This record gives sequence, structure tokens and C-alpha cells, in this order.
Amino acid sequence: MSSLRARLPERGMTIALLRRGALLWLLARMLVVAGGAALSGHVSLGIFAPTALALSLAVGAMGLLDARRRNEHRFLANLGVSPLTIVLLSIIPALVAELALRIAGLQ
Amino acid sequence: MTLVLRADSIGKAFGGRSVLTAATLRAYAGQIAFLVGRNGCGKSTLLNIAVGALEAGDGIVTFKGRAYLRPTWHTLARQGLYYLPDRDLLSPSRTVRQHLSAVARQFGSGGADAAAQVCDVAPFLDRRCGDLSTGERRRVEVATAVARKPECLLADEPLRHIDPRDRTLIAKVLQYMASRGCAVVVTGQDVEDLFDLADSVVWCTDGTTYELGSPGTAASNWRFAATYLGAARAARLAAGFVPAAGERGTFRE
Repeated sequence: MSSLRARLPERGMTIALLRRGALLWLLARMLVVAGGAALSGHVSLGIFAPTALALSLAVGAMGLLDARRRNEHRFLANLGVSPLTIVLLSIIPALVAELALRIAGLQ
Repeated sequence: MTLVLRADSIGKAFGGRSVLTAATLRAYAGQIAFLVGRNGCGKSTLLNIAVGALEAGDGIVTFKGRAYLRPTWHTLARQGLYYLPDRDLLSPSRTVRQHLSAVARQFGSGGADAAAQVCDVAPFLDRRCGDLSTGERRRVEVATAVARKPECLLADEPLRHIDPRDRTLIAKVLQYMASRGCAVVVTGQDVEDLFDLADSVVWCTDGTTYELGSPGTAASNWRFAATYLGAARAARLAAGFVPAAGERGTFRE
């Protein structure tokens, strides 16, 4: 547990990364839905599970790029936080949201 | 002297151009080593490899007795290493307080307030780092290192583009950290200031490094004097004669 704690950034940074992951997922999801609506002619929140997974991974990559854009990656490295941890923290909100949509029957 | 960090036989090439062939860097607890060399000789590359920010072509890094063929910055940071790159450590959108608190909370060091006082950043704790001047930002970067209380600090050009007052402050802070047992390595071209600060000088040239000993010994090394310092500056440094800004020269103790 202490090992996991050492790999995560402190609470403020963790919350910031999770919040950004959620925002990135929302933007990516809106783009996917808008693209689907443009192609099919009707709006649907539903996407295939592999697409949802790919979307979540893309959000993780975008989260890492966003941290680099904000010049946070060096500071986070000094805090002992790896790039993989940044990716994972960005992915978590996307996975949770996709799961919530499926449970709610909106997929 | 306890050896904290050792980067041995480091080699690195960029696109076929060999920058380092067999460079070595050692950091001892409580000592300040000055890594010096001409622009482009590979000082920053060596620091980046030692900290794990860049992968070496050859060589091995040992930190606190543990050898790493491929060290990573975050792994060494968790073990007690702190790296001040030559620029862009801080996030422009976050405040000084947020940076210092993040370090203190992450490592339970609880030294954010003390670090702010030591580095004279208390007056602008709630300003965003993007709104600070170069000197203020550098002081904040050093303050984050103080808050971390690292066992080893690598500082790439900590005095670059800094006014004399801040240079003195940062030099004192680095000495303070070394006095607390931190192994410090600094680079830069501010030879007079860094010679005053350092316990030992390491010369990086032709892809390798030479440990020249104390600053006084280094200044009297004829090859170092001829190819890096220049004869006049070498003579001044060796004699302890360093001209202050705007003056013809003053004697130091």
C-alpha cells in the first residue's frame, strides 16, 4: 500500500489529473457521438466495447500529452510519479464513465 | 565521504554524433561538485542520463549503492534524488504555494514554509509560476528542492540569467543543502560564482570527464586553463583574484 502511495502524486495533483481525464473523456466522447451522428443521421450514445476501450486509452495518451503541455511532467517526475501513472490516472475517469453508461443502459 | 550517485563510463550519441564517450560523474554527501565545460560538451546530457531523464548509450548509474542500467527519473526521485533542469521545471498555471505544498505532502517532509523563507519566495506564494520573473522562478525551483530535502541534488545551470543578488542567494541555499548532507552537482558558465561555491571541479570535454580536484587546483591546471578558462581568468582564479561586476577587481579571502 505504501509502495502504491509512493507511486501516486499527492492528493491535489491526483485530483487535478483525474478531473482532466474526465474532461478529456467528455470531449472525446462528444466528438465520437457527433461523428457517429454525422455519418448515420441519428444521435446515439452507444459505441462498441472495443471502441470504448480504445477511446479510454486515447484519453490516457492525451492526459500524458496534456501534462507535458502544462510542463508538469518534470515536476511530477521529481515527485516520483511515472508517465505510466499519469496515463492511468487519466484513463480511470474514462473507464468509470464508460462503465456507468453501460450500467445505466445508455449504450 | 559517502558516494551517493555515480554515473560511470557514460556514452551517448545523437544521430551519429557522439557527445559523450566515457564520462563519469560522482556526487558525494555534503559536497558540491561543479561540472564545467564548453557549451555543447555534454554537461546537460550527462546530468540527464544520471537522473534517468535520458537513456544512455553505454554506462551504468549507481544511486545509494544500487546499480541501474536504465534508471528512470521517477524511480531515483523516490529514492531521494532531485533534479533541477536548466528550464521549465514548474507548471506556469500552478501557484508557488501549490508546488511547495505538493513536494512537502508527497514526501511528508513538511518543509514548505521553511523552504519559502530560505529562498525568499514567501512574498509571492500565491502567484502563478507563469507570472514570475526568471530569477523568481529559479528561486522557486530551488525552494522545491529545499522542501524535498533530497539526498542528492543535480542542478543544471542554477545561476543562468540570474541577477547578482539572486545568484548569491541561490549559492547560499545550495551550500546550506550541502551542509545538511545533500550531495550537490551544479553546472554552469558562471565560473567565478561556482568556483566560490564548489568543493570540487569536474571538467567535461572531448566526450569524457576529468576530476580536477578543488577549485584552486583546477584553476592551476594548464590544460583546463588553456582550453576553457583562458589564461587571464585562470590566473585570477588561481590567485583568488576575482573582479566584481563594474569594478576593476577585488581580492577575496
